Amino acid sequence: MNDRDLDLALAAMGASHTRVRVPPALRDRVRAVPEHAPRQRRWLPRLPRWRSQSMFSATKFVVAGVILALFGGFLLRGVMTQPSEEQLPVVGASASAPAEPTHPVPTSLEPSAEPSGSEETTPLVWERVEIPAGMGYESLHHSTGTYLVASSSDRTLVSRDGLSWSEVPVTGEIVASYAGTLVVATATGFSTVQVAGDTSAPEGLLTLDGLALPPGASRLNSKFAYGPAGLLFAGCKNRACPTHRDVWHTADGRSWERAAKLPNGGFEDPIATADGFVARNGLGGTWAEMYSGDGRTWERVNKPIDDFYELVGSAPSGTLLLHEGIPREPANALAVVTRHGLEPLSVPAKVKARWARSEPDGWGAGGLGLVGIFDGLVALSTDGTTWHLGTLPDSVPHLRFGDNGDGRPLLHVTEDMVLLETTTCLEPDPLEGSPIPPYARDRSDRAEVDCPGLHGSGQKTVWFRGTPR
Amino acid sequence: MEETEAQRIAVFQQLADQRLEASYRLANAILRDESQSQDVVHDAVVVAWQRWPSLRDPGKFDAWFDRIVVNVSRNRLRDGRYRRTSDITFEQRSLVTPDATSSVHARLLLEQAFDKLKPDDVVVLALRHFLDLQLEDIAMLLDIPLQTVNTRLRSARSRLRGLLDENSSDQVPR
Repeated sequence: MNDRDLDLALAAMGASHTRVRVPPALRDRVRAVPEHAPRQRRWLPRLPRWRSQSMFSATKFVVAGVILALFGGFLLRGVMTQPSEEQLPVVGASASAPAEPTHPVPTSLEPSAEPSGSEETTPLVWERVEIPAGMGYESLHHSTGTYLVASSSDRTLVSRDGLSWSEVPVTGEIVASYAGTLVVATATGFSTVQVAGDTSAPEGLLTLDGLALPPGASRLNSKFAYGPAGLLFAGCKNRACPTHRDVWHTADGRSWERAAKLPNGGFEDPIATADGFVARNGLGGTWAEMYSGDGRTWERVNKPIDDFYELVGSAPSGTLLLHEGIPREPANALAVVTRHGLEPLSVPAKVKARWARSEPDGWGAGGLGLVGIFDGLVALSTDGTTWHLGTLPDSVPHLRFGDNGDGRPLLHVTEDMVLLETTTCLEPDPLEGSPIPPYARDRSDRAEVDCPGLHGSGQKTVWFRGTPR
Repeated sequence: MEETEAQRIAVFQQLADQRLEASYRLANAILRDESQSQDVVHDAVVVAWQRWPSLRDPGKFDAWFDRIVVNVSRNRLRDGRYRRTSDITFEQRSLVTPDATSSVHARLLLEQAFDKLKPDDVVVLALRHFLDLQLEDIAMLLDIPLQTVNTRLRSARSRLRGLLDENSSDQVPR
């Protein structure tokens, strides 16, 4: 194809993608943002260094947060203690049988004092590793250990150590996972692939082989959650439902039941717990956390404020959920969600973290982590109260962690290690001993490594493997 | 709510509303997926609102907001779990052969090649060829030197052409 033909083809392609009109629902969502998305977090004070420190970019800050989150599991294993029943309020198994809160429901998340959790610092040994590129990664917890799953459109690889990878037969898109089992979707239906333990069948979970899509349903803009309570599928019956999803549930892996209509349309972040599902329901800036024990009937979780943005994981018992604080702010606000409201967690005072992450099945195996870029620390916890601090690899402050502070670096935690994904220059590679390239821009809220344009965008993905010393 | 805060919200809402069509086209040019674009525009508005106090000159809102949209879109592309929703089903694809509807086939190859490009390549190609922006405008939007835009664009086109050549040997595009 010559230049002219390529130009014509691109112009034709572009015309089809730029002749779009803003859907009314999106306009409504956007108009609601200022009234529902606070500009400042209330739990922790804004950090003065956020605006004044020029050596570290917002993107780096984000990356560090991710790393911390991933490290939580392995660092904490053996160090942290499981939270007691008193520490972790339990959501009732039945959606219709209200239980008394085990803790008082907070009416405000304003900080009352310095975080009270203990903090210890542990050196981490980092090594750069080569792992499959261009794939999406997730951690998969199982009673036999934590596995890393790397998947792309045509390959799925599994690893226990981040160093050696083996291919598993997956035909389709991985849409959910739980306890060593992957849920794979194709154009017409679903199947399950067990990648850990006894691979002949999912461990106490539904086998979905042969399960078709619900009649009339589409996987467009779909969301899934899979766990002991079955498979939850929130999809569309036509293309006009980007924010109003229909929800189906199967408890036997063969037939679907339609969930009751949720009150406010949108259905996001569904997460399977040991005894049900949690998701967010809403439109615009107004969201409510919902709980369901059976996948069909949902009740709203009463929460005192709207400062929280995203459900990021669940605790090992399946009864707890973690909220991530207002994104893109220099410190995280974390809280556990129960049917009865939010319970704030302490955040290490030393860590100026930005992102939090809890792995599926979370605190027991993967743990909870925060990453601080300004301070080069990661913080790991299994209970949200006691934190263990680790140090980032020396070269991390020189990497870029997304653009304009909006990027979300990837971090994966197993019992024995943590993997951090970030990007660096293709050539010269600042991590290969050459001087750190100059920052092209060095502003109060943005700085990134300038990759010399020898190869166009000149960037590549690199991985670090961290283990406790 | 204090009157001043109400005024601030009103100004932001007006500016965001006025820019919504353009920013939605911008996001969709990069992502080529209307559902993803809606999410990205919403996220960009949230980011803009949270950073609203840092924008000293509301007259520069459009450029400032477009830059946020581009960054959020690019980060969405970088997400390992990002998968574009195709308008063409697998079954329809299987019916398209090079001998039959060649223009459709060429379009499929082009879409497929775009899916394999790096996010930075997609962004610069979309800005230049889909939105027909001048190089100077792209440089301003991406906040990079003009020469870097030239280099990125040249490299992106080269990689795209390579992918097209590679894919054109396939009988049926995936």
